Amino acid sequence: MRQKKYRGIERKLALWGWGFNIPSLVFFAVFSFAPIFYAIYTSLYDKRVLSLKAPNFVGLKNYIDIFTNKGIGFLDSLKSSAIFSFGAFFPLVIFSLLFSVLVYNNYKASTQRKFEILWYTPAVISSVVATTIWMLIFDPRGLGNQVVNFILNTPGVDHRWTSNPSMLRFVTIMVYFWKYIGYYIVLFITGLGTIPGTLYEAARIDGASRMQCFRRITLPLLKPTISLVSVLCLIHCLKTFSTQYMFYQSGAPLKPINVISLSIYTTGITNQRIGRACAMSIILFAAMIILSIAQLKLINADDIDY
Amino acid sequence: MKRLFAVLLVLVVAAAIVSAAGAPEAAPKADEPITLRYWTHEDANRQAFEDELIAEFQKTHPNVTIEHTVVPTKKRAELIQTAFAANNGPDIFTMPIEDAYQYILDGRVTPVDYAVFGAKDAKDLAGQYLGTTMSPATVEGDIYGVPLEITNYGLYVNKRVFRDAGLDADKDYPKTWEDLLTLSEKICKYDGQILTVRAVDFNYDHCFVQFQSLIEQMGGKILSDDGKEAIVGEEAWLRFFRMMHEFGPAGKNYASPSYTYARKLFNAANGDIAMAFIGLYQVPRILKDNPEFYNSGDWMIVPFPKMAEAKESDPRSCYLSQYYYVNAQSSPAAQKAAWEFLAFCQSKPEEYLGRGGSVIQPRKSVLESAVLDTLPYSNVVLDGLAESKASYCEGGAKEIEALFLAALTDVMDVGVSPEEAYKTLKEGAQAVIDEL
Repeated sequence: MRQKKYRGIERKLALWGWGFNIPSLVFFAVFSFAPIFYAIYTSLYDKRVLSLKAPNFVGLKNYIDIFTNKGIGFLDSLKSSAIFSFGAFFPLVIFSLLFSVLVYNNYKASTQRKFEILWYTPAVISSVVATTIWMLIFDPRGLGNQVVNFILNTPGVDHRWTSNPSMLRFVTIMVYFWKYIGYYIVLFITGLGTIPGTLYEAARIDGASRMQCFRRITLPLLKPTISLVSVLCLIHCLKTFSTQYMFYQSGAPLKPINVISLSIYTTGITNQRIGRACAMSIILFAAMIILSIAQLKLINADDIDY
Repeated sequence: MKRLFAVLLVLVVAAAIVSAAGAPEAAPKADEPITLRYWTHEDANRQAFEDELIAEFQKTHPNVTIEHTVVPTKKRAELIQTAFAANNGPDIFTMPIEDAYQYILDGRVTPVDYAVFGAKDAKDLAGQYLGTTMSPATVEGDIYGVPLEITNYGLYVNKRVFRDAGLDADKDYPKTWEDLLTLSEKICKYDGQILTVRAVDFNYDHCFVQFQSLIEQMGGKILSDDGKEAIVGEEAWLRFFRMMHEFGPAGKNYASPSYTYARKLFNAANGDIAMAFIGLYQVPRILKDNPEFYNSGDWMIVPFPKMAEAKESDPRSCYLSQYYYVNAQSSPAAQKAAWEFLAFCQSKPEEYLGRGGSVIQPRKSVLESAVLDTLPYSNVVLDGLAESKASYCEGGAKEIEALFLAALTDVMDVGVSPEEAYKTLKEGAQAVIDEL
């Protein structure tokens, strides 16, 4: 008779862990990793969307072309993405942190939920509705000019929201901010909830001001959440598509808002050059990985103990 | 024994696969159930009419079921392309030829089944249609689609806005592009810098249809005759971009691609806009949206303007060609049924012109249609069609058109110099042509 092999409890638990994780690993492998590898493979071919013929292997030509052929405009897209990400990332992280601290410290849980829903609403509004609203606001006779001219006392000035390149960039950042700030506020409020209240009580007994509590307790202990939010926010900013697409579809000039994702879309869908579009998406993927790692190292979120 | 069994099993399966692959496809049976997926863009009037046609066709072809899917016009190209990329395209679809040209080159759509249309060959079929309206869909002697609609633009004029500017629309309407520029200055009104009454709206979705004739009248071309050089005739292109710069906010601010599309604004007739370039299909939409304006006699359609220097023989404008296509990957039975359905649709051009949304299916019989008498200014549009040619739709058309639109917005909105815009467009378009 075969002797039953003894397995330690840790090993048993690990097996259970694998059991529970395998479905999600399979899911990720099929829906995330496989497309990435397929994109890398496709980027080495001159693949056209509609062609039924086997695509020609072109090696790194797609990568070389996107960096050397000015007509493709990929370097302009990198610039547009960098401007947009820089312009949207800092306001999003800073204001979502400030708003969440404000709401968390001043309102009870039920009111916090209402604020969260309110902030989050724009993220679930359909793109068509959002487009209509914003295009009405930024029409030369729309609310945008009226409000700004009233505040600045500059009647009759057309700020050319959607036709001036700088204004157009500002407007896309503003719409993006409006749409997604709620998401980061929800994350920050959740993070704030994990900081033990006793720390604040002890600090107040010791005479700490609100600002001191924020600087000495909230900020350091919120590092993991700040790290998560900033990495997510950076990735989202680099991947931005729908806001720019919305304005482009409404007749705005393409060049100032031709971010990488929009460039990938036009290359792959409009121009049908899926191999080249894959090369662009691999570059974007690499940029996101490198920047995210750099950011995690910079924040050093593991260095927290309480 | 087990190994022998396994070898035998493999041999049997392989033989089955080989014989199945090599077997000739069974001929379709007449009563074999067929489901056709038909995807087209939105047009409420046409949709309702085509639903009726489908019901009527299904009565005479009980084995055929047609699933009619209407997709948003701006999403159509990507939806259909994505479906084809997955080898799951619709059996029948509609698309402008410049979008569909690559489908033809890549063998994704099938040539017309001429016999179903009662034609001997491509030439015979083309003879059933007006002028050269079938030539855009003709590649290497075969025709790959039948026209859903051929659209040339007329210039819709709101007489009230002309009157407010102290003009008589019937006399003062623009005959030339130079007139259009001069009139725009008289019509536009501003509150400070803010444009409150707009002179004109161009159709930027189809830049070639809107502007190609104007550029050609000045001596420019999109592609040289030998097909090797893109954006030919520097002086003509520069003159064109200088003119468009004047129209745009970076110039005198009469019009802009970023302003609200005028198709709906024109119907509202609230004094916002004086003129807009639109196809004949707009006529029933004015009636539907604003019957008071429709019946007021305060609007009209005038011919598409030409450049003052244009020769009599120069095409007045370009037309947009939208065709029905049949998926080459559909089964032979489905292809046959699809062409039969399309032949049935093509037998009703008068009805398409009437309750089908005022779309022009250029069958020769359409010119004698009584429906024309009920459609105001249809003679202006059809006369314009006779003087027009197909817009550029061949290799790389879609990419070049996108580059053209980018150059146009750069000049009109951003204030990029015409010289710079021309250079960028020329380089980009040449790269597209070189890569074909």
